[in-house]
Amino acid sequence: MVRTYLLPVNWHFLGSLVKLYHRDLKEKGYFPTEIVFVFPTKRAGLYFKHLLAKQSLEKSFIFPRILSWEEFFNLAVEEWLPEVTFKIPSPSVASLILLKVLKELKMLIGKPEEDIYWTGMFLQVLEELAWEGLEPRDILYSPEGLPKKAQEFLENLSKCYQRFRELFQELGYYTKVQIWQRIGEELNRYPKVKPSFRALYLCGFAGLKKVELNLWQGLQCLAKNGLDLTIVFASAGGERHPLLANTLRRLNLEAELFPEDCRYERKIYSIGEKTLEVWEALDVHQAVEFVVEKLKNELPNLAEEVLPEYLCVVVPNSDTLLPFLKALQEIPEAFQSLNVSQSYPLTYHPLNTLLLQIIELHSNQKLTEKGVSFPLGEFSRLLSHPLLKRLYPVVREKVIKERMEVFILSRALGDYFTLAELKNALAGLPPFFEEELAKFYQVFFEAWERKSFPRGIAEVIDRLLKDFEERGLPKKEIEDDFSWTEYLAYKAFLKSEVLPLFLQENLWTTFLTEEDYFYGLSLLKDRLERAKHYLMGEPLRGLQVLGFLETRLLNFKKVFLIDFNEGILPPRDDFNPLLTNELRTALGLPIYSSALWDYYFKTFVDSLEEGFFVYLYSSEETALSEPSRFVHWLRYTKLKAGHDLPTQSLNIPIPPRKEEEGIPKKEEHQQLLIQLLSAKEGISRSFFETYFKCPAKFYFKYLLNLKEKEDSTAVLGQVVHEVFQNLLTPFHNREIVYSDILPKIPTLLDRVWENRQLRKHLDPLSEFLSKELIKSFLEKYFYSLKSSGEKRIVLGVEKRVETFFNLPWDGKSLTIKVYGITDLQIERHSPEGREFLLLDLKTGSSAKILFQKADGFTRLLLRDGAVKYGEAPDWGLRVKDWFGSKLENFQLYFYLYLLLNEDRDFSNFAKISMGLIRITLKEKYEQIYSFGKRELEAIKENFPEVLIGMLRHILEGEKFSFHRDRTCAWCGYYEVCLGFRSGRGKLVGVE
Amino acid sequence: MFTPFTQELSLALSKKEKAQILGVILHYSLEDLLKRWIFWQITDQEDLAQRLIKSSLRLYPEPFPEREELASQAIKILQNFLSAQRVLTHLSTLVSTAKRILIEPELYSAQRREILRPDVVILREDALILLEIKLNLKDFSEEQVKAYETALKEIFPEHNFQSYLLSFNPPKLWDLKKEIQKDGENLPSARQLALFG
Repeated sequence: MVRTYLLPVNWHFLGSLVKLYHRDLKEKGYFPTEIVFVFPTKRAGLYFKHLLAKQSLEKSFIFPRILSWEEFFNLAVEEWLPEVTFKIPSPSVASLILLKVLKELKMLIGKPEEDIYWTGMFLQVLEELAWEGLEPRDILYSPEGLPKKAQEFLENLSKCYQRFRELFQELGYYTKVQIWQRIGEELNRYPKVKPSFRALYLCGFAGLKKVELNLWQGLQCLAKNGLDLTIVFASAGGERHPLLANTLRRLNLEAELFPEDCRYERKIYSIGEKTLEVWEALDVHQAVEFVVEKLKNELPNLAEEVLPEYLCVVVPNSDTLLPFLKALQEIPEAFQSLNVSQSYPLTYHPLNTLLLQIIELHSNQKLTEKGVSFPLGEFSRLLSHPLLKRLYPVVREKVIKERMEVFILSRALGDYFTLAELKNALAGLPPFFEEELAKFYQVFFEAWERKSFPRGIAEVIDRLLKDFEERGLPKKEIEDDFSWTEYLAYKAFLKSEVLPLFLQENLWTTFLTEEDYFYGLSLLKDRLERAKHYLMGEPLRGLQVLGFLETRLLNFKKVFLIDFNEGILPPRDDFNPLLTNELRTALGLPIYSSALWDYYFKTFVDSLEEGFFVYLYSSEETALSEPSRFVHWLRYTKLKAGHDLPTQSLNIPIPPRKEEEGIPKKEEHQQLLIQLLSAKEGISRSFFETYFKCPAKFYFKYLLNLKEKEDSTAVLGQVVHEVFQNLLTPFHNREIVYSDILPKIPTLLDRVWENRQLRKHLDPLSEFLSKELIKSFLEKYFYSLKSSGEKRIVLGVEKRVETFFNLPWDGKSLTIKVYGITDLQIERHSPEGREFLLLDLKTGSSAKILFQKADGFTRLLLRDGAVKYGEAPDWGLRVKDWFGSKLENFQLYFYLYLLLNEDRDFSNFAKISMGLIRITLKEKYEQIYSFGKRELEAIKENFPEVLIGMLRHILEGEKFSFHRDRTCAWCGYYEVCLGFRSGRGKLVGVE
Repeated sequence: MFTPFTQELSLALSKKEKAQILGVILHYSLEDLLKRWIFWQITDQEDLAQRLIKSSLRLYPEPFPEREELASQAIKILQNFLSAQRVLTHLSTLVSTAKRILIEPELYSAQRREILRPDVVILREDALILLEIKLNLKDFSEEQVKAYETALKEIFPEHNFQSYLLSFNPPKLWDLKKEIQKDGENLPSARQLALFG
């Protein structure tokens, strides 16, 4: 018999199920253990038990069998595959097997990190195919733009899949999907197989994959032969969500409304009637503080036993768990029986970052004539890790520190060294030091050698854990300290997910050769970079902190939801370029749809009485944070019911930055500025531009000498410059031959890319896309020049130009040196004659020449005295008016001014132009602005007046004021700047 | 303050200890044997021990470096147990007239307000037998058994009640009441066992 019910979650899903259970138990006379309840999550099962206990009227009783889907798997194996032996591989083991397949098929590219990355992507494809029970077919015409490796995989998909499966069988491995599939086949083939239970309740499932569908159909077959099967779907407001309708259709079932006499909750709220609040926070700390403040009011009035059903904090993003728990420390009583069901992020645990640095040192080793050599740069970084000094204090000893310094400083930073050289440099010390250093060599070098691999890695990690404990670094005795808890979580992660992989040597011997050692290191790195430990908690008492999916089928009176953001709710999965909609269609996989999350969210809202949802928001156009799409659905639903759902702001805003506000300029600042201006090396255009774009940034950069945080785009810019330099230098003083240049681009780009180690800055997919973009730009750019037939001669590449002018200051005259590095100096031949072209290469998308402004400013330069300092009330605004709000045109004049002051004859040129080359895939790669003779003379004559005015403003202006525009959030000094403005607008540390 | 996490994490770590895993595998194997009692005739102890242990190990995912070592230890212990004819005969008697064998049933104890999970409960028409399985005698906890007994007596007030301790090492079935009468010479916690009386 099969019964199918639709149970509105606002009836109280689990409570109503408890009532149905008691009714069935009485009517059907089953013994409790003959009944099996299966839920999608473990937590729903635990709550179900909790409710059964609550309703037991103070009597002891035997529970029915209550299982999560995972636990039902174990039962199903016992019941229906009792004699089949198998081993289930973890994802890491599956990765190793797939790597072996790719290696056999000669499909590895030989770069371990990239190969591991792509193996993960390939594994996802194979898993999806398996869940849908599909035999893969080769994609003969794989989409353009995919890396060659991915294309090759798609073209050989069936071969890969077949070999992967063969290896699985050879090793006695089965994936869970394969086991489910076998059970499904078993049940459909022999429907009379009697299970050890008489009644099965499948509760709260929604969408089914093909393999699961077969299994359910098998269970339906058992039902025809005596199994009492009850399927209960959770429904928002009693409606048949399209997802449920689809599942019912595929199972060929009709659902009826859950029996009214088993309804648990009589007081029903529609969404219109619910208390729902949507809050907007500036950052995660504000969001968690808001929730903690609310909890402070709630918790003292609630008994521990009441809490699990009354209140819940939902933290969908595991990264928010830590800030939340830290903030929750303000309510110590909350910790007495706190239950967390969410992953605890451990990537930044000090031991993890130390291990990652050791891996970096060994991954970058190379074999020289001296033997295995290590990069000095990575070693220096490792030495500066704070934990290293605490774990092995010997490295802090003065004599060792000094010798290490000598060892490092006597070599170039890009140099390599052998362990023997290091030992030699530190030799001859007293025995105690020698012993301690021997430990250091063992842990950081010797244990990682190839000959010790893979077991050596597991052993050295275990050794580090012991040393960490012995040194008393996690403070076990201090209960209030997170460090002990974090350490235990990290240890649990290593013991369960990392160490076994390296201790089981036979896994590696089937795969590894000497060279594959680096794959082992990369696999370890990959695991450590995603370090986390899942906390399970216990729901019978205390405050519940749950991940979003853990809330499924639960009912709470009050819910606080943090991270109500798009990309988190619904989650944005890591993009897999092999599972795009186009490829899914080709492979026969279902197209990803948001239907599942739509269903989850609607049932979630229906299950609570009061909800407080907080999202993070930034008003900047470029910000990544945006509220979840469900905010709009909630608002719409509320409005339909005649209620508004305004967004309330938690932001106690940091006052908007005003021009008049800023860091006061003092005499000491002026003195520092004078020193900078008088420096031998001179000042560049960036000195001027930085100040006039944002004086505060100028203050951080030039006066405080703080280094700007470098991002990957800066490195990409350096790559493009280097490639240009390499391509064009051979044509110095001769005509560029484009047909020579074009074929060189791919190999040259590869070489520069490798030297600059871009893989350290970007993940493999971004790296691939960025490289393709740059390659494509370079090819198109030079191809367009070739097509134009224009003759160009290289006059200079990365050439320095400089000059001097006098700044009247304090009754004296200061000589100021100004300089610039011009990217390209070109002689261009056109029908109008020879042209001198000064070109600057720009990788930023905002770089451009503002032609109208240039016309206006040039006219101004022609008017004698028009640019003299003191004529305008606000020089800052005036400069922006002349050159553009981002000083786009300043460089144009600055470089021309430097060039014109060089001892050089330009009389042979019909005109002089300044231009930008912009990295874009649009047709217009160059923007060029030309000057006539009179204009050039005016620049030479009057531009120093502009520079004098700008410098005087820098020296005399009252404040280093704060600038605010849309790019502010991307400034490398963003955090420093915010820090200066902490204390709600007070300028801490300035006055 | 972080005690709940610390407890949970310590438990997660202890589950990784070899001795713990060995206990679980043997537990699982014996329960499996009890479930299939009527189907299997024990003629070849080694073969049966191997089959049961292999089956228990199925759900331990790879990598599991201790698999071979633990399997061989467990097979040895189980084989030794299956050779203890007196224990098997006694077990057989207990199971033979069973109406129902409950493997790790979950009980709610109203008195303790917690969920309990005894190893095996054998239900007969008018009697109830509690079977507590331990790898080593030292693992036996009297308090634990007492809690099971109290809850079960409340659920089955009309049934006669018997408790047994089944140990692998040494392979023995201890009738807890008799052991108490003998002053529990053979049980390490005999003094505490007297509390059952």
